[in-house]
Amino acid sequence: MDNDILQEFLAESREMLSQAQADLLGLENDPGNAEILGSIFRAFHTLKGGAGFLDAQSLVDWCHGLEDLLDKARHGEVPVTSRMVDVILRGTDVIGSMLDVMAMGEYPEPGPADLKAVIHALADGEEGEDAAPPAPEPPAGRPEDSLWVSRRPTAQGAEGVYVEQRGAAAAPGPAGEEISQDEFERYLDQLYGAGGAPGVNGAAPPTASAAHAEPTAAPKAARPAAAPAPAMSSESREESTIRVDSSRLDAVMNQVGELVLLRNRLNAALANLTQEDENLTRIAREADLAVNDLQATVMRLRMQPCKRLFQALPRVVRDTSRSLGKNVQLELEGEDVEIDKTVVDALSPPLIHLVRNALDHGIEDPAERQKFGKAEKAVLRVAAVHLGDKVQIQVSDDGRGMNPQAILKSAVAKGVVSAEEGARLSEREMLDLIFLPGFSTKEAVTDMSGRGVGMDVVRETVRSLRGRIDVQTRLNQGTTIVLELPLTLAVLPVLYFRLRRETYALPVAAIENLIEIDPPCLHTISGKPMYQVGRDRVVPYLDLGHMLQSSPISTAHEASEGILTEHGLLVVSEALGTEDSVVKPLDIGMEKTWYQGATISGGGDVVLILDGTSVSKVQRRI
Amino acid sequence: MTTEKERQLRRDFIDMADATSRFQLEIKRRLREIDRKALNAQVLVKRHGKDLSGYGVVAQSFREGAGAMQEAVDTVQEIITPLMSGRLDDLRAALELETLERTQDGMQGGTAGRCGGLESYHNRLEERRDVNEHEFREIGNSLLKALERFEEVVTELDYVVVNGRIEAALKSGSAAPLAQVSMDMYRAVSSVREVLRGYREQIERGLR
Amino acid sequence: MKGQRFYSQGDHHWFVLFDQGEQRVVDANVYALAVGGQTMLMDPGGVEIFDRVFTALLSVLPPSSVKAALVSHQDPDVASSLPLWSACGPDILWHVPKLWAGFIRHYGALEANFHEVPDEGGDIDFNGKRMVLVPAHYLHSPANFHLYDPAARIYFSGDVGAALLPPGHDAFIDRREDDSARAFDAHIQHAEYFHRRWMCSMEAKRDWCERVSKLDIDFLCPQHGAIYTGKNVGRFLDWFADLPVGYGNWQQGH
Repeated sequence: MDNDILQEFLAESREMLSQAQADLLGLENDPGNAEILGSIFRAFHTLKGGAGFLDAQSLVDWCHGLEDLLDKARHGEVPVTSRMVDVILRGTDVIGSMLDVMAMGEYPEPGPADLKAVIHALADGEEGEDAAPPAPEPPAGRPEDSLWVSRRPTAQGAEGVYVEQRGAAAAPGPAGEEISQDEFERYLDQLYGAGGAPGVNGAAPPTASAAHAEPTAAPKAARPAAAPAPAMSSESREESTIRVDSSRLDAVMNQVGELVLLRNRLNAALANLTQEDENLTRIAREADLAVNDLQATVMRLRMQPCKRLFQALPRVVRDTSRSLGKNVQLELEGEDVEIDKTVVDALSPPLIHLVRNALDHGIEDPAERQKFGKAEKAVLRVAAVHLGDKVQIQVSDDGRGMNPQAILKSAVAKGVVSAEEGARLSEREMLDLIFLPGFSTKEAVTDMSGRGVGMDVVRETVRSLRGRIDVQTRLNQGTTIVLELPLTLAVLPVLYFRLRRETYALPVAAIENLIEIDPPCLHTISGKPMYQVGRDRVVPYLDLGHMLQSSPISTAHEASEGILTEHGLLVVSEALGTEDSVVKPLDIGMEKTWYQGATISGGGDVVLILDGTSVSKVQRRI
Repeated sequence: MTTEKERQLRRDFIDMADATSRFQLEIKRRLREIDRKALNAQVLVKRHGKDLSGYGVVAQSFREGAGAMQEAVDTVQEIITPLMSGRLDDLRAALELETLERTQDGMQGGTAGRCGGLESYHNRLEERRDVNEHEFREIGNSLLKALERFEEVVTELDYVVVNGRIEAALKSGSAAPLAQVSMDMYRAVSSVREVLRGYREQIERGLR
Repeated sequence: MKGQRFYSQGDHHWFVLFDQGEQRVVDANVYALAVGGQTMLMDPGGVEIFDRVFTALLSVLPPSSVKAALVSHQDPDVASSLPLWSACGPDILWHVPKLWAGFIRHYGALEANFHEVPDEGGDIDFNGKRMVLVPAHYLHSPANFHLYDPAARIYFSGDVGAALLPPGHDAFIDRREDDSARAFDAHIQHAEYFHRRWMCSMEAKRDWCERVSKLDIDFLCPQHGAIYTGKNVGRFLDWFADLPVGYGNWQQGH
């Protein structure tokens, strides 16, 4: 097994597993909660995918069983009982043990047959005989806070030791090993220690912790071709790089954020001065530049090359195409394009999913390709492109492309949309159906890209990173999925606008243009207000007065201005100005769907930042 | 009876009032348009990040220019109000004078000479009209100065806009919308210049 | 004085000129209806605020566009500016109650072009749009007309709905909480004495309330105070219907 990928997989899987366990307990109290059910289901699905990729067939089978059970529960075919929760919990323990086995570099054995039988029985709607005692308990209680150490390659490909402080709740199991401060020191000594030969020789596990488990780094370190980093002298390493806990970086980022807000307020206060003070203005301007520079520098601290994001792909493509009997060449571009660490971390699973989708659904098998006169070898291109303050990740194949009508048909058949709704959709909107939960263009459930979990998760992930996703497809020529992500999540340029007496903000990334609203351009189409922009473009007319203040903005009676976005024309009272803002998270339940956060304006007021996508979604439902 | 000269005066006044009204309405509308275009430029720059940061300065100057024009409008507005009030007071005096003259005509036959009070009222009204006329010229001239200053502000913005168009032309590819915004801005500023010129000519005619 | 547009549909607009700022005379609103580039004024106002009205009008409409005016009744705050307007626009058509026509000419506009409105009121055409002159006699003047614009659903109500507000007031009764009567309750205190004392007849009031409550009204626009919109229109009609007014009644509750 490829150690780097294994380590990623283990860390992610343990996190997912502990989340799933917490969710299961929540489900026991609230058996009807579809959201929790969906989340657990997706966890097993993702686990299964990762395990399949690592050829851990037993884990695949095991997860498949649980996934199947949950899928039925999700569709209401079997009831959620506390017994079921109990069985699934025991099932997760089995997964935990399998992961432990994998951590030692071995393939896990098939799960206990009796528990498997119970799971199947439950899935078939039977009670199921009680099985043997629960699978092995997870490791006993941990100290409140502990240091976690793991060895992974750094962004530059050098070997690195990562240390982090973790609370007991977040403890991910022995992916990183739990050791005391002393042990840690000793471990470091062994790795790079004074006089001690670093690297290969020093990688023997510290004896004191042997009782727990092997240190995660062991399997890799034991390989002869160990990382090049330890070969360097410890001195030169110290000079060129310094490892910092990423939480400290986050803290710096937050503090810079506060500074940006203060800068905005300073500028606003200066603008309000009745008498201009040249000296003060110059100082403010310099402070402005200094803050901008600082912000850019701190931003760069968090940047990582897309290489890290792409590293798993060659293997995915090789294995998947082989098992599907397809001939595919992977082309990677822009590996050195840098992007925020959060984005790299979060985007890895969705990217793998997109690649698998392309292989599974997009690219035809060689015979079919021949029939259409295409080269037998398909090309799958994954590229990162730097565009201003955005990075685009493009996944393109030269496969069969998507047929909007076929997608619609399939969506209607699955009940994702009604036939009535479907009839009103444009081709563009039909394509967007693939992003709805519960959609999959392929009828057969495969190990690869399964049951229609996936694209919705991909889109949600991209959105949570303030990005957007777009599909471009041509029949028989191929499909390109474009993920557009902000270069940094630290600063969000917004446009402030006024809605009667209230001020709101909208990320400028969503804005195409500001326009004057001309009443004759407003039409009602199929009962929905639409606005004509230019000669041949008609977009939804989204009255924010109606949506946010329950009183429509009447162009007949009050001031109005239009903000054209890709989702439609947002109608506001007046656009006010732009500013670089810093997003503060919100915790206001229901309304959360409308806003992506709040910020402090230069005037010092708290301003809600609207989420353009959510607004257009809500409008569609109205 | 109202004399033809008086009628012409009133027509001139209404012409000037109409021009003032149109000027105010047009300028208000166009300033909003310029401000919107400037905001658009800022949004564009923010969307494209570092690539267009050079244009950011231009976009900022657009907005500042729009702000400076607003201030110029406010100054003009402050002068227009007393100018109009002065003309309206003159209209009132003219009407009073007319009524008075009619009254005096009606009192023909020796009685007029005895009514010295009416006579002095008549004189006061005529004096008031002279003062009004003098003030109208004074205020009118300061209005012309304010309009000239306004034109200077427009010229400054024009310079920025031309710079913006050059800047946009230098950037290829991603700057296509910038070129559009710059062109829109150029048109908006030019139209303000025309409105301004038209109004200034009208006021000059009124003062002649 | 400020000018503010409050209705606009194609080339059909309504403006209110309000908050006159001169406190020695009673504060009055002037409304301007513009259709296809022609303007009609509702109660153009007193001679002492003519400057202010004229300058406020300038900021929203060209003065030469004024082609007609409604003089709802004979009061000086309604009609004493007539000769000045007439001097600016000799062709203005004046809709005046027939009963008062000879009186109103006393303000000094013998040559002005009058349309003498008969007691029963009726439709008039303004540049192609139908307007209704609604009789409101004895509220408070013995010959008195309101104007209803059916297309815009705007009702100019003269002295009915009038409130005496402090300077700096808004053009509208606070619309933020249309569902609650709080803003209306606060506002109507400024209107109560005026209605008790100035409105002459319970019968006339009942008759008026009955007719007007059948109309679709989005904006009820009085000559003094603030405009009633949305639910406040109904609130006002209900309030007025219950109010004791006129001779023998106006001192009740005081």
